This record gives sequence, C-alpha cells and structure tokens, in this order.
Amino acid sequence: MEACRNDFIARSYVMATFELYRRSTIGMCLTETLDEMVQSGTLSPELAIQVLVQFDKSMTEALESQVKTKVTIKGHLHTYRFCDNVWTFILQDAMFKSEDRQENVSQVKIVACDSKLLTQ
Amino acid sequence: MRPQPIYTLKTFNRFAFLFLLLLLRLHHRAFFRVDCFGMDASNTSDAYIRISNDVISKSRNDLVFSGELDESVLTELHATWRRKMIQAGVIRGTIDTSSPSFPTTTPLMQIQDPNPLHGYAQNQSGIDTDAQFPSTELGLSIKDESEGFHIPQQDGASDDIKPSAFAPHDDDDESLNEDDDYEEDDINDDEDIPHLIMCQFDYVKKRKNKWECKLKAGVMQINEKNILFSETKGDFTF
Repeated sequence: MEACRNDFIARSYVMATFELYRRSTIGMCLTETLDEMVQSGTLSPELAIQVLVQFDKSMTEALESQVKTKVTIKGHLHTYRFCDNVWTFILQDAMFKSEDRQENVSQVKIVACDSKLLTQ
Repeated sequence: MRPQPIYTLKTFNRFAFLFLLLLLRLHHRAFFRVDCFGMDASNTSDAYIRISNDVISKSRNDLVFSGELDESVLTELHATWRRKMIQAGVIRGTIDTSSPSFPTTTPLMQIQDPNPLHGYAQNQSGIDTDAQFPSTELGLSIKDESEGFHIPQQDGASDDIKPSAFAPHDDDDESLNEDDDYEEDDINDDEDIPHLIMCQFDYVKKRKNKWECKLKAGVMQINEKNILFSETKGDFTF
C-alpha cells in the first residue's frame, strides 16, 4: 500500500495514469512482452515500467478521444464495492447494446476508476 | 503439324495444385480469419494498432533519442507485442515467422492468466488517493502538550483520580473486532468470471434498488470479443 502511495505521489507531479487498462488483452500482451525481455536481460525493469506508463497514457487518450462507440448496459446488480475510488460491479444477465449490435452475458465484472482523477 | 496448345489439362492441374498450396500456406501464416470480424472488432483492431504505434513512437522520443534504449530493442518489443496481439486475435495481421502460428480457440482467456510481472505492474485498482489526504497529527500533539499543564486546585481537596485510559475498557471490544471482518466472498470469488469491463466512471447513483451510472473510456472483453466504447449509460437493478 505504501509503495503504491509513493508511486502515485511521484507520478502525480507528472500526470496521473490509470493502470487498469493493463488488464486488457492489449495490456496483457505488452506486459508479457516486457516481462520476457526483462527476464532475458534485453530490457531493464526501469525502462519496462516507463513503457507501461506510456501505455497507460496512450490507451486512456485513445479511449477518451478516438473511440466513438456508445453503449448501454442493463442488468441485475449482484455485487458492488467502492474502494480507493474504484467501483467494482458484478452484473448478472447483462445486456449490452450499441448502434448495430447486442451482446448478452450471464455474468460480467465491471471495474471503473474515477474519471475526475485524471483531470487534476 | 498442329501447334501444341499452351494450356492443357496437365498445366491447369499444376496451377490449381500450386494455388491450393499457396492458400494452405497463407492459412498458416495469416492467422486471422476475416469473417470473425464485425464492425466492432475491426474498430478495435485499428485502435489497438494505433495505440501500440503511439506507445512505441513516444517511447522512442523519450528513451531512444536520450540514449537510454536501443532502437533494436524497441523494434523487437514492437514486433513481439504485435505478434502476441495477433495470436490473441485482437488485431489483424500476419506473423512473419517460418513456423506456422495457430490461433488460440479462446484468446480472451488470456486475461485469466496471473500477471507475470511480480515486481512492477501489480497495482490493478487505479490510483491510491490516500496521498491526497495525509493524516493530521495536529490534534494529538496539542493533547500531548496540554497533559504537561498543572492547574492548582482552589476549590477543595483534590480528587484522587487516577488518570484513566484514554478509552474505557469495553468487554465488547474483542467481539466487535470479530464482527468487523466482512467476508467479501462474492468479490474475491469473481476471478472465474471470463467477462470483464475496464473503464472510468463519471458518476454512480442509486435510488432504492435502482442504480444508474455513467461510464466512459472503456474496454469490454465479453463473449470472446474486445469492444471499445467512449460512453456508456448503465441501468442496474440490485
């Protein structure tokens, strides 16, 4: 916890970033790649972290400004939690609708960070 | 003598054979089946390619030009990252390797793998904003100072009162602590859920059991698809 807090303090002087997108497929592919290169000694851990932070920024920027899709979500809220400014929801029998398609899932987890933290 | 025709059945068969062979090789090299791409997938593929290019070019500006990172390492990073995304089925492309690459049947199951990085990429919950609210110890220090004062008593004999503990001992304290532990079974057991959405929230509000939220900038990994959204309106019933 202390390490995370210090890490945030250090970064807050530059720009706040969200690390949650690292859990996406694109993020996991990057972390796997970086991990392999660090393990083999091709890349230092410090540089790997810098690349990851750049990924956080690029991903967030792309999602905020380049993506145009709007979606509606409906479902039964099974569980909710709000901790460290992060909402976690578990939905059941959820329906996702966009302009041209609809998806149904029996269970889905939503992790959402506070968008206001990035505008500080 | 009649001239031998150039296009005989034999030649045709040979060409057909070579054509089929080429198709087979392409199937191995290009692992991506176009028919599995809907509009969303195509948009996602383009977005992911742009994002990875942006990360690499910004890293080049920051790290390669300053001499901290070699261009060849960055190129290898980009190529490996791209290859993994193709293998995961989230971007279009061909893998330029001699050995055939086979698509995984459930590419999005990758999100179930434990994070291989143990040292430096573990914070998954976003920003810890405790840093913004440092605990104030001012109240305690004032109290400490006041305990050193001795006020002479003028209104009668001094009461022989032993300084009591700051808080009276309560036999219920221990049982209270036990009950304080909340079993978050539902949240902790959700690692088996294959569908995940990562996003930001503008607001979350509820009235009785009706929840309403505005989410934005999200990645939806549902039904083995990657769908990106700029805005979402959520209506949940608890």
